[in-house]
Amino acid sequence: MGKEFLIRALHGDHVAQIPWLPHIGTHAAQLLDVSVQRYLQEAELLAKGALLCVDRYGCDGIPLLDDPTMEAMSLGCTPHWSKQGPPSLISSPLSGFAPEQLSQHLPPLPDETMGHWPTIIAAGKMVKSELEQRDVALVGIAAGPCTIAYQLRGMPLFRDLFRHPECAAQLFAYAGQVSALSARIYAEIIGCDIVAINDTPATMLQPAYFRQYVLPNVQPSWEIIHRAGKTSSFWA
Amino acid sequence: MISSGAHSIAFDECMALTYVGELTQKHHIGLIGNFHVTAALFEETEDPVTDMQRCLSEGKNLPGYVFGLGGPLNRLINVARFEAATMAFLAQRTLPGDGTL
Repeated sequence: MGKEFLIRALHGDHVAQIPWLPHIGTHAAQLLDVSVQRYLQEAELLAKGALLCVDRYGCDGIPLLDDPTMEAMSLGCTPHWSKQGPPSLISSPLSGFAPEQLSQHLPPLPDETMGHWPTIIAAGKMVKSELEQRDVALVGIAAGPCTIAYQLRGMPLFRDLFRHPECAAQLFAYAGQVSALSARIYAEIIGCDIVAINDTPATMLQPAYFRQYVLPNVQPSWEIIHRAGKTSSFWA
Repeated sequence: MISSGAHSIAFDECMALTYVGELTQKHHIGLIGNFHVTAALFEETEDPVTDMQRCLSEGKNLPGYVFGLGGPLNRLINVARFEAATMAFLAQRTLPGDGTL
């Protein structure tokens, strides 16, 4: 019943017991006693880590990967690996361009064959049936539009929002497409039960900017997740 | 965020669970939150079981409530403290009565 309770609760319903879903971050690397760099890049470790957390903490759903930089790395951002958490990004490939040049330098849209996706898909295949046996939901976490736009553009993004709104809108639209591609891979290819869009930097925006730049560009993700019959969640 | 079209939201440890819950209830969506990971697990200035009980007592009256962390576990933690909170949660999460919250 754990998975069913979790999904019903995420749809706003009363359930007989409170479900439990952790924002697990890179904690599994600590449990596995391996570096975060290795954990995030090896399918077997991602799978083992997810199962270890489920068995140890009794959760009703578990993220397959909780790394907000994953998409950015496949778009040309350079990571700096840390011992404890996900990598920091030390270069933003669009930071040096004038706002009106951004649209000409957007990286090609990724697909499931690029970046870390093959590793994540392999991990998903390893873990899915094990989680089904344990009645635990598999959760995919995709980076949100503001996260991706910020990672690609860096701090100039926040100047573009009010000085060059059309350029910023193009970048957010692109970022929304990347987000939706991730949502599609999690929902349709890996078969996650729940797909979350994690967009923490969006909380730095004033409400008008959030409505203007973020809201329209998360809609493609919700459409994909809901069309696949999966449950959506917005994390910030 | 609550009216973005998602089935549910997760919110961070700085927000008041009850306040967010009132809003999600109006929109009939789920909410995940918001165990104080910074104080209870990173800085160890708050008792983890006490904070879990805060989540449970505030969340139990909210339809769609899911116990979750108010931020990602991206630092090394004392695993025993986290286990104490989660084991106590699992023991206490089913409410007596008619089987619904």
